[in-house]
Amino acid sequence: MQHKFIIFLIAITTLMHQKSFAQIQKCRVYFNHKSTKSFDAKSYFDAKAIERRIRQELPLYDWYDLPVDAEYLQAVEANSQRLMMHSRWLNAAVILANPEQIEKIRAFSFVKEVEISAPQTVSLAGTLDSTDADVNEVLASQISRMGSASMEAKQFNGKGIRVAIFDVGFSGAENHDAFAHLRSKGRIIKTWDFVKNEENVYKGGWHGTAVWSCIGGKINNQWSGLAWDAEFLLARTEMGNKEPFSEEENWVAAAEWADKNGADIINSSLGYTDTRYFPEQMNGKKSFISRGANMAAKKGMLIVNAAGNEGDSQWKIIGAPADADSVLSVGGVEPCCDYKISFSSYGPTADKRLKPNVAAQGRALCAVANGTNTVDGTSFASPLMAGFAACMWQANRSLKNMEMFKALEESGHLYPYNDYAHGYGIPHADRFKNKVAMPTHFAIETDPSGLEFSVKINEDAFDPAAEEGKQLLYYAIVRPSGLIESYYVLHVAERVPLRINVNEYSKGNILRVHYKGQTSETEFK
Amino acid sequence: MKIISFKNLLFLLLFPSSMVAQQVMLSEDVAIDSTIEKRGPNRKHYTHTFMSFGLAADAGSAGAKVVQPRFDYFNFGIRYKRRLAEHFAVGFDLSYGLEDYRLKQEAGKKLPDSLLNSRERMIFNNFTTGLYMRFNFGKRGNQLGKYLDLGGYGNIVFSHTHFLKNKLADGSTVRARITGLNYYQLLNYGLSARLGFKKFVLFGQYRVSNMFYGDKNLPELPRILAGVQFVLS
Repeated sequence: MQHKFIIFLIAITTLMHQKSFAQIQKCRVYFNHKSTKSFDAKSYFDAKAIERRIRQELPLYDWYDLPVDAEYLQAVEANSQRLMMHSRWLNAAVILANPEQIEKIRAFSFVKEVEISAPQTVSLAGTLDSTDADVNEVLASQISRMGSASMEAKQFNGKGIRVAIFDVGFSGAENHDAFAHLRSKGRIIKTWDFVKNEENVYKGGWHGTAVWSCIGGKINNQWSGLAWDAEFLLARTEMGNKEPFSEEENWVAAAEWADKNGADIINSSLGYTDTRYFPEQMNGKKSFISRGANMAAKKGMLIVNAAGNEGDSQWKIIGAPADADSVLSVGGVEPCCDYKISFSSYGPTADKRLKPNVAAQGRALCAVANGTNTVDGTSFASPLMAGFAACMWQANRSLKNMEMFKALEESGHLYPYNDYAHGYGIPHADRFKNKVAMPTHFAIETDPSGLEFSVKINEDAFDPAAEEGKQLLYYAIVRPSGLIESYYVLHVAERVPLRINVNEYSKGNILRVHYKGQTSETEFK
Repeated sequence: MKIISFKNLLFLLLFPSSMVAQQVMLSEDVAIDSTIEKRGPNRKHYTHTFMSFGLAADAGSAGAKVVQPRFDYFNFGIRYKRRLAEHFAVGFDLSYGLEDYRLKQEAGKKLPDSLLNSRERMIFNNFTTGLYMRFNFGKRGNQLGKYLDLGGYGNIVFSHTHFLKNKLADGSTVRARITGLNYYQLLNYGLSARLGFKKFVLFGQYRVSNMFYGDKNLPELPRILAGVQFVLS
């Protein structure tokens, strides 16, 4: 009887956990140096990549661009089951190996670290929900609120800017009318499926199709994205519902590919959260993908990433790589109004940096595999922002990528006010690199006892008939360190919308208020 | 200690807190969000309820063969897990269990006697407590992930019922329900193993103790139970 029990245990164990019990493990092997001292950057990089480096005063190549030492790769390959991929930037190889092989590889003098990475299932950022919103209203507002009219008048349409899109697939995009103008002009420069190592990316799901249309598509004879004359690199890095760790590796490989092929902007509407990480690990340093994203930014590319759709869930905050400090994380706002759409993920990062950085509309009319649909998600706010950035870069070609990052923040409708739901708010073309005088719409008054702050709106800046959500006051309690302690958005229906009891807050904290373009603050004493 | 002046007190009475006369569209307290949770599927402490359905994985001893396959086991309980390391945890559970065996009516039957009936069932209700060690596989966030539990259990049988059903020559049916029996042991113990994939679990348990008193010379019912378990919340 006991034997039967043991056999039973072994059977179910083997059946259910073949991978877990198998000796083969997936590992990332990091090397401690590169023996190659130089390489021919001009033959390796696309001309656009060279141009980007020159324009941004970056060296044509640096240590990170040098190839991984071929001998190391050979040695690792010879002592593993399979060499899956390697990364120049991270000087690493991803392999499958058994414990004996791992130990052997670990002992190599040129190996810095071996990191075991077991396959895991993770959730996709950018869930898609059909809505019954007025499609024309959504389509009009998704780009007009960032100044599409102004950009069109100045012919800012992303021309000359190369945008890479990393996604789960671009099903239906190859024949979709929304991209006919791009196909006819040869604007699709390259495609690559990093999941299957093949050229065809027009499969795997329509999420990428929808995202692409928010950058440069045309729907119902209207532009659905701002950068409709940009060039595109389309990469499939996601596997869909079953998403192993290799997706992060695919992302980094795609970023190197985008760099090599001259991308100026990477849009990635994806994120990794609770199945892989804890909220306290969202510091931009923990995850492989965030480290890769920061490296991509060092190459002069602007990395635009969806903040995530976890605002309503227990996870709540941004995921990776939206946590990386050089990644422009994009939150979502309501189509009607300038406040956060419910599902958009919050900041800050685990190390208390501001995230999201900016915001765009979290609902969009998009191209899908067999037509169009109105969909919700920061997945679509991110490409709307990427399209905007492409146009602004076209207009300000001399800007370096992190200058562009800063300029995008500064053009937010809330700037210099910010919070962990909207960042600096929704950028607008008219505010981009264009300092406008701050209006005077309200005053923060202190009562004679000194125990109450009140915000009083000027009569000419107050509309008693304003629809709910159309007349907003933002305020935050900010610690001396700069960390926002709490923040709020109010619909203003009276001229004194806010009274604050000073005794409730610590001395030194700051009350910061934003209303219709004016930001003012006062200190708790 | 901060002393509240009369002026402040008066203010607090008149204005008990910060007042917002308008509609709040968004309100967030970052300090609350920044608290690192101690409870959760892959945190320090985790408690959840579970429900199991199982069947006898062996036929039982000669003389106590049971009808197979048939759902013979149900259990519902609460489980606690204490994480000690990324891949290792310990814990215990408390549950109610129901074992319901249908005895094969065949020659050589000895449990609880050699009489053959149209149908015969033995039902045991128990309270069970289990201790286990958990080995987790793979990196994960605040998720149960994949795991193997190895442990032991003990239970107290608080009721045992023997059901009989017979068809008589005249076509009528006689049902009998016998309780207050004295041949079964109150305490049982055994080993348990579970393989979990998130909230879905395959379990097996082996009863080491004998179910019946030795001096009764009764054959044993199946010792191995196996089935599925669902983590509920």
